[in-house]
Amino acid sequence: MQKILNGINSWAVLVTVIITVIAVPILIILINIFIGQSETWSHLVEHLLTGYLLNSLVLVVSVGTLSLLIGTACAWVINTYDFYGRRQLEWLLILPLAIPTYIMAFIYSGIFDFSGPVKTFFRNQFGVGLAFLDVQNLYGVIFIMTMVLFPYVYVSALTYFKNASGSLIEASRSLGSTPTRAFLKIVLPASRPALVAGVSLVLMEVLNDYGAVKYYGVNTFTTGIFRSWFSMGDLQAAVFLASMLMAFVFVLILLERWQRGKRRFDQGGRSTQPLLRYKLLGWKYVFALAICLIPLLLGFIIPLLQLVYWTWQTAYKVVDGEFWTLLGNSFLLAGISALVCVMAAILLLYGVRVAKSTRVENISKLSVLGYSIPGAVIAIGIMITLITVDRWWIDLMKYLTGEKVGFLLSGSLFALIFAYLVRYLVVGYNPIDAGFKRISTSLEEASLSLGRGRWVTLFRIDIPILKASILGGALMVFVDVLKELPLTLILRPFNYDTLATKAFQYASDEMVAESAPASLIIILIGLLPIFLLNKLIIKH
Amino acid sequence: MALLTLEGIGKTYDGSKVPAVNDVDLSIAKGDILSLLGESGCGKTTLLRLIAGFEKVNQGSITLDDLVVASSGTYISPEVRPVGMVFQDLALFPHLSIKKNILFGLNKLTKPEQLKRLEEVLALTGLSQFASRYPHELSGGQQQRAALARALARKPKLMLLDEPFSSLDDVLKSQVRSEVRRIIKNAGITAILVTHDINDAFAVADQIAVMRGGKVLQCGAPETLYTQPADAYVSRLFGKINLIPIEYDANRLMTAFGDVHIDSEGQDTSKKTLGIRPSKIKLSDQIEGTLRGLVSGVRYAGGYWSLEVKPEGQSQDEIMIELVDGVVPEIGERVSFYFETHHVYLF
Repeated sequence: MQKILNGINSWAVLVTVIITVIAVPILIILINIFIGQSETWSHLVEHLLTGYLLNSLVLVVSVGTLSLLIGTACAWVINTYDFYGRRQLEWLLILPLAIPTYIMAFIYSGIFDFSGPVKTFFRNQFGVGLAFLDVQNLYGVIFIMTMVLFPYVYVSALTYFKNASGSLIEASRSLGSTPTRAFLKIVLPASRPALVAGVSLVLMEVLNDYGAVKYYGVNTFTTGIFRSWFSMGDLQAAVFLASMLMAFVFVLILLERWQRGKRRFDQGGRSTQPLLRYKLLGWKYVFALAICLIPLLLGFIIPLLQLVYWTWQTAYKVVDGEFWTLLGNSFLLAGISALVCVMAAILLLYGVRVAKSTRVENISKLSVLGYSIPGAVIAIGIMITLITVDRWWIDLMKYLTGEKVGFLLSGSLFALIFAYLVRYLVVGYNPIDAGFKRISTSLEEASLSLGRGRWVTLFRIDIPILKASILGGALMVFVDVLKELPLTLILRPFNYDTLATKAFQYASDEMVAESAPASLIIILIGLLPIFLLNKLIIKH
Repeated sequence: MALLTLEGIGKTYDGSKVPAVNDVDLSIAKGDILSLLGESGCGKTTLLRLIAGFEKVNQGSITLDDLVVASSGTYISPEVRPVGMVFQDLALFPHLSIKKNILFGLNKLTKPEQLKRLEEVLALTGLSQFASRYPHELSGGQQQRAALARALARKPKLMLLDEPFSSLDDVLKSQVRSEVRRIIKNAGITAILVTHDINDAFAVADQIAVMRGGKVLQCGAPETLYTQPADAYVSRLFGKINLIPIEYDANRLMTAFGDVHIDSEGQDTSKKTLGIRPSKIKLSDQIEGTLRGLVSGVRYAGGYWSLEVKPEGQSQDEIMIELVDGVVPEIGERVSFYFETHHVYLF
């Protein structure tokens, strides 16, 4: 019989290796906060940095505030009142999340274009030009971002209201409060952490965006990173901007943590019985309906109709052989990335389970880092990591064979998939983590006691039981990769296009209508995980 | 011949200062069923997991069938130890049928051998007609037997059962207990049963090891533990008992109820407590040479009367007496009584 000394430690090593690979590109950026300046840098600081910072700040504050207002208001109405259409609106209000900010930007610029439906209508009917009505500015960005991102707050608030507010409201009503007063004085303060968590997701997306701000000509950190790299060819400046953006994000995360503090707010008691909803009639009904319907119309229905119309107009010339290649590229890339993320997540989670060490568990928590960091920052981190590795490779080959070889990893699909792994690992990780938590460790121990090893146990016991969670996680990564823009633009191999980059290119070339078919596919596939998420929320 | 021998086993979990298992010596003869009995947190489950190989020992050694499977320098991982286990939550694989659950551990056998062994354990556990069902389609008792069948199929040298009856209701429990004992005995396997319920131990085990605070307090046959408990804790675990403080004066052994005479050669004056079960105290109509007290409570308890008797002039330290027949005294009455000498324990 074989003696296996410290057989368990190899899993700790595996977890550490995966985390290290994922953390290196991020840490490299972090280090660059403290070092390195370049020639264009002083130019950047003098003329542009203040503008970047200011625009990013204005966006964060205004989109955050507006999303908070709209999301909370919708969630409150849906949770507290009963009216015709409530059930449908409850899940319809999540749908704007399926539209990426950059696609929303194209659509609204098209709608308010000189030849777009709004201005044409006013011109023809009233002879008014409406020249002042222009969305291609900072206000336009604030508007379109709010309209697609408010559901983060809505979902977060609604989940909290549903779980905790029933008993809170009943308690305050039994103490003589009106429902409105109960909401303002009790529920709203108690739900603060949930609301802030929703807002912080909104802000991560705001800071991640490149397509919308670029399209509307608003300079932020992400456009600065692109300009430094693509226009000025100054990687060092791009890295520095990336590190500043990352610092910005970390400040937001710390603020969120800090406001949560030591208080625990979720002790509001789980109400198993749903709250008795107030039936709304008359003008109150119209008002409640308007609160929910306007964001839905502006955030989903109108943009979708416009896209469908454009697709109908342009499909015959856009959908050709090249389009199918595009579709193939996108699906292949998203599929491989989903597979890689899910595999990494499974190995990490299983490794932590097997290693049974708090230190390993803490290390594994670093895997969530990537999702809060903007795609452009990760792209830059991956780029400098791979360039370094490639230089070693070239030197090594020169030493070994005396010949000069080209880059191995930079500018390859590998770089792109690696970057998706860093950014979206946690998207696959969370549902699988939840799935693992439901598997009793005794199932794994039973398999061991039946003479099967750790790997067999993973493939024969854990993975089959986790099937649904794994598929869910893979689908979410798939969709996220499909709509990803800034990271893909920076790292894609030369002349390699995906649905997202092609749509962006069409729109940038003043061919917004032609970008519609690709955009429509991205949105329709993006709806899948939302329906999945929705099913989960309704269940709880 | 001992199949399993534990010597000086110690285990302290990471981040804990108190050892979960502390210097345990234990051995089990081949074919015996041993029960590890104790309250939750006493270390019994940890000891089981050390034997199974799910935890590593800090000190001591575990020898199974003349092979050291765990010591400070040796660790044989659970999948290669010849040990089967039935888990507290049974841990039947929910995505596999009962048949596939059982076959899961038989991969080293050839196909015909696998099927033959499958038939054998299904017949042994009476599950033949349920083989194609999934775990959730079985009753609690059937699930229990399925878990047992799965563990038995590999013909382990040692079977470990971790609180296997805790999820069953009381009616089912007594039935399943005797079934489990019958199945294990028919298979001729040595087994260890971890439980907090003494009735589990009585119904299934040949030997009982009482654990507390990570240590084995006493190990022996159930009747030995009942009649010769090593200390007050063990005596209390095995049934109702009066624990009475004692003092010594010259050759007398004094209690608050009077002097006690026991025929033991020489007295060990380090003992501070006298233990006597309520059924081993008899009322007496003689005055001389007996103990006396005041009746402070009388209650009919089904088959016997339960008396509370306290020392005269004191309000506490009352003892219980079980009175099966005779005249039932009234509250406030003075009674004389004596202890059955063979059933007096000194701790």
